[in-house]
Parts: sequence; C-alpha cells; structure tokens
Amino acid sequence: MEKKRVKLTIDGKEIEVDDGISVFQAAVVAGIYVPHYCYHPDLSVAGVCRMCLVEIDKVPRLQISCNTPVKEGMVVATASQKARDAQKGSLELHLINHPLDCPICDKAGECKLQDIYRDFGLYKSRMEYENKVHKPKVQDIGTIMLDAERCILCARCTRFTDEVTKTNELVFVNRGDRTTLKTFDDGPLQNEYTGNLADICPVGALTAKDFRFQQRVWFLDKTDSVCTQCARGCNTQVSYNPKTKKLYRVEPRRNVEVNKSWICDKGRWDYHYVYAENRIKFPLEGATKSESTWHHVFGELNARSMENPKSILVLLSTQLTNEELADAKETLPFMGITQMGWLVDESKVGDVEPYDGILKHRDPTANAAGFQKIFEGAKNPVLDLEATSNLLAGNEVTEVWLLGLEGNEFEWVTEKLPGLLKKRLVVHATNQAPWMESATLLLPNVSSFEKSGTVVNALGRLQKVQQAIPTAYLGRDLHRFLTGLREGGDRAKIDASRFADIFAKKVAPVFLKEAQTWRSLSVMGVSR
Amino acid sequence: MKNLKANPYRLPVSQRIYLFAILQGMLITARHFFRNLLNPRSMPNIGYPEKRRNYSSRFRGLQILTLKPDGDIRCTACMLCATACPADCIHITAAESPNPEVEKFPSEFNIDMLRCVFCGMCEEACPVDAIRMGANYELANFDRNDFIYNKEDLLRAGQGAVSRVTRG
Repeated sequence: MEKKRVKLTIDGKEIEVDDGISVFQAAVVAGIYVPHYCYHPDLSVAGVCRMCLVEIDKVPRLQISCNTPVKEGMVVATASQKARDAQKGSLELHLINHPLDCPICDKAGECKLQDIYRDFGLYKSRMEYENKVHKPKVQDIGTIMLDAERCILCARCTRFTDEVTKTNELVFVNRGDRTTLKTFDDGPLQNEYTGNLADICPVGALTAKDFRFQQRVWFLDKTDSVCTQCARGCNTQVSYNPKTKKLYRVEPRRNVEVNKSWICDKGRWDYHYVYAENRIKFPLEGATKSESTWHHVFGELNARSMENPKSILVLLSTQLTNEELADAKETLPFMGITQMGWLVDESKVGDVEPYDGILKHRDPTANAAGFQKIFEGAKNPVLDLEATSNLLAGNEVTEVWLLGLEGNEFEWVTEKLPGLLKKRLVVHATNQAPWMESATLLLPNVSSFEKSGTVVNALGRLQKVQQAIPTAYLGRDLHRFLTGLREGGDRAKIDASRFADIFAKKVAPVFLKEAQTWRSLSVMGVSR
Repeated sequence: MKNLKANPYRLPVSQRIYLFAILQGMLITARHFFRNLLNPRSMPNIGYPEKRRNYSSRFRGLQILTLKPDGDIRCTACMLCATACPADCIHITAAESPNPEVEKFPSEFNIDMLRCVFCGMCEEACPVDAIRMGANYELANFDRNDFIYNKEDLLRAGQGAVSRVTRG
C-alpha cells in the first residue's frame, strides 16, 4: 500500500514527505540541519535534550521537532529568532555543568557540544566554576571509559542498551542536576556491541578504551569500507593517520539494510591483527623460516607448477574478494592447476540471519556467498571440505597451497583437514598460526584494510571494500601473487587498478543486472 | 672561425685590468683599519661568547615546558601545538598519567629543532600555557639526532618555570 504523503514548508522550502514521520525527519529530507543531541535515527525518540525546538505556525509554544509528527500544510521555522534563542538557551543549560575537558577529551573535534556551541557564537559562560556539580570522572566500565561529568543526559546510551542489545547495563540515578549515568550495580558492560556507545555519545562521556589517547580525531582521514570479520559485512568507516600511515579505529557507517548504525566489538577492535606480533612480514622459507624474496618464491612456485601441476591442490580462502577469486579462476587453470578447493568452515556457512539476532554471523569470513557465485558452473568445480579431505588422504596430491588466509581464525583447518600437515604446504596468510610451522613457504598476505575489491555478504549484497592504508610490510594480494606466479618472477609490472578492471569485466556481469564500473558502484552496496 | 661581431659585453681596458677597483677596495679597508686603530670603541663587534647581545624578552628561541605549582608537567598532551605547528616538528605521545589526579599527560614530547621555524604558533595555540618560546638561541650540535629535544630537555630548558594559569 502506498503511504499517504503530506506537504509542508520548512524554512520556506516546500517538501512532500511520508505521513507519520517527525518534523525533524522531514527537515533531514529537506536537507536542513536542526541541532540535536538525543535524537538518533536508529533509536526511539526520547525528546530530552530540547535542542531541536522549532517554531510552528499557529502553535503558540515552540515544539521539539523530533517528537512532533508532520501535518498537512504545516509551516515550520527551524532558524527563526525565537527558535534560535530557545536552542541557545537549551545549549547553555547543557553547558552549565559540563567540564572544560576538551584538551584531554578524546571526543574533542567531533563533539556535538563543541560544534553547536561554535554555531551559536561562542558566548561567554555565565556560570562560575565553583558552583558546578561534580560527578565521578575516570571510570573503567569494561571496554569503555565513563566520565559522568561530561554526560549531558541525552539517554542515547541507555536507549541503546535497552533497545538494541537489550542488556540494560546503563542507568540514570539521582534526580535534577545530580542525575548521573552509571552502570547497573556498578558492574561492567556485558554486551558485544559496547563500542557503539562511544559512537552514539554526542559528547565525551563514553569513550572507547581502545582509542583512548591514541590520536586526536582531526589528524585522521576516513575511508568508507566494509567489515570483513564476519559474513554480515557491516559498513564501516576506517580512520587512519596519513602521517603515521597507521590504522587507528574502525567505526560503523550507517546502512539501514545491513547494520543500521551499529557494528559489533569484534569488527570494531579486531583490526589489531594488522599490527600483531605474529603478522607474517616477509616471505619465509624452509623449516628454519629464513627470510626470502618474492622473486625467488615466484620462480620456485612457477617451476613446481610447470613440473607437475597435477600434484598441486590450491585451497582458496573465502576471505578473498570477488576480483581475486575471479583472477584465480582464470589464472590457475592457465597454469595447469585444476584442483581447487575452498577453505572455510562449512558448518558455519549459509546462515542468512545473525545468530545473536543483532549482527553477528557464525561464519568469520566475508565472502563465502561471493565465492560460491564466482565458481558457479566453473569448468573445474571447486572441491568442498569433504572432497578436499578425501583427496588429501590419497597420495596423488603432494603439495597444498593455501591462499588468502586473513586473521587468526584458522585453528579449525588442521582439525577438519587432518591430511594437510603431511603434505608440502605453501601458506599465504596475514598472521602466523602454530600449525603453519610445518609449512615450507610462508607468504605474507595483505589484510582487508590494505586492498580493494568487492565481497558479498550473507544477505547477498555486493559491497565495496576499499583500501584504507598502504600495504604493510611485504604483503601481496592475490592479484600480485598470481601475476608473479605466472611470470615466474617479481619483475612484471602490475596495474594498480587491476581489481577495478576485473570487477567491471568479470565480477559485475555475474552479480549485477546492469553494467557497473568500480567507480560507479555505490559504497552502500547493491542488493541482488 | 673567428667571430667577427664585437662582444657587446666586453669591458673597456681600464676596467678589465681591475687595478683601479683593487686600489679602491684597499682604500676602504685601510680607512676602517686606521679608524678602528685610533678609536676602538666605535667597533661594531661584540666579544661573544664573553659578551652577549641583549635580546627582547619576546625573543623566540628554544621552547620550554612549564610546570604546575605542584611540580608536575603542565602539558596535558592535547596536541594543539602539534596541530598548529606549520613545520610539523612537534611529536607527542599521550598516555594515562601515573598521577590519579591527572587524566592525560605526554609520555613523550619531542621537538625536532632542525625543522622548527621559531614561529611561536605552539605557544599561541597552547590552552594551558604549557609550552613557551624560551630565550636560548645557542642550538648548535654535532649530531642530527641531538637536535631532537625530548621532554626532559625541554623541561630542563624551562629551569622549573611554573605556570600559574588556572582553568575556568
């Protein structure tokens, strides 16, 4: 059924919106910014901050726009003198007991209180410092640091723990200007989405411990990408400092169809494997794991595949992007290597719904759905785990190449593929696991933050992973690996936009109805 | 082949022999020599390093870091100086302070004096009067690494200067 539409005027702009939405949401549609703290698009309306007061014609008093439904013929002024004065009054009340912590506050630079205070003309405080109400400051509540004094009581965090995680750890105690944010029973936060509290807090009351004092936010550049820690593919924004060339945090990017405004703590804080101790930095060779060069490795692998391609089995990780897989699908048979399998814990693949009812999927890899689609109807069908296991039990295969492993979640491999360790192993991974000790060659892979490509999440949505940081150490993505393998050396020039070419030619026609180039593909992803 | 055209830049013989110019220069030197010999007070030289020129109190030399009245470092590691620095020479690492009264402090505070242009923007940007431009201009060293002044060096340069700025 078509929704009823209503016409209204906001700041002289006539717009038509769905009936039933609030004036605030209508202003968002019209592209008008109304100052606010407590309103959040993915939470219920609280109406406590009183910042979004607007003047509505024929209504004697100012109304909060977030909780006023639109009506036909409404005339709204969000920035009239009366509305601005009221908003400024609300702001002044918010600032009365707010400490002057900006130099040490991690939120400084992206703090709504700072932004709106600046918009309202940087007036002098009429409050004397001694009269301020003081509340407990540095409190460790698990993954988050709580500073109750900075809190402006917008209730976003309490609504989040109430509505999204349904764990209710955060509560307000006391009354009036002594209202204080606390965790229930002074316990720690106990959900797996705590990082979002630091995002939705409009001030610095809740800050992430992981990011605490790491960087000032204005030093950071942001890249839109997609989380690759599970099959959900939450949309993310990756912050890195262009001077230090390092990654500092991963934040969710709003996408109503995938993750709303949230991301789980694993996706947010597990990026540390990029800089972990066990990261493979150079090609390592032999039992002693002595440092080697890519040129030497490519020459050797090329020679071995020329000699007896039938003895080689290639296992491709589902963490690889569609472009890398399409490249492998073409290049490996060209080299004579026809035995290919996928490397994923099959018992976890295939869930459409998250197991915890919010976001988390059991499959810790990003692209199992894309893998299946890419290799659908291939001339040499990819082997599932059982077929791989059977093949490993025989003597036909003497050498196994595991390509594109990322992160630390590959302990199951030796359990599910018991024959693996008896073979000659070539492992292309980001991080070293104990079972990789027996590999004859350990090759550095790049993490998802260091490459671009597309992945398909469990909902069948094609999404864009974009490179955020330069390649760390001597890592090579699969495009570079395959080119080097084919050339038998590391001297061949590789086009930096190779993934974009492959996307336009081989990936887009498989997944999408109309032709797309890498540039034309939206960062919001495309649903099939 | 001989160049038949006359060189327009060719000087006349009187100037080409430089004799007149040399005599002129020697005359100037001799004049100063005798003037200083007869009246040494008029010499513009300062007997550095025994004597030093008086600089204005606003002179911008090596930065100093100030202390709080209780003796702790004043700096809160807000990094506004590093942000304002046009030469990108200030490198701060923030950390949790060992003092429970203080939340954040600089565990490292390095200034690369080879990059510093002595503009004073760091002093201008500091919200708590923790960094000031000092008076020291004698910054010669034998090693490039010695030009990187760390927190201890800058505090030493401050000679225990206390900043009495209160917040609010």
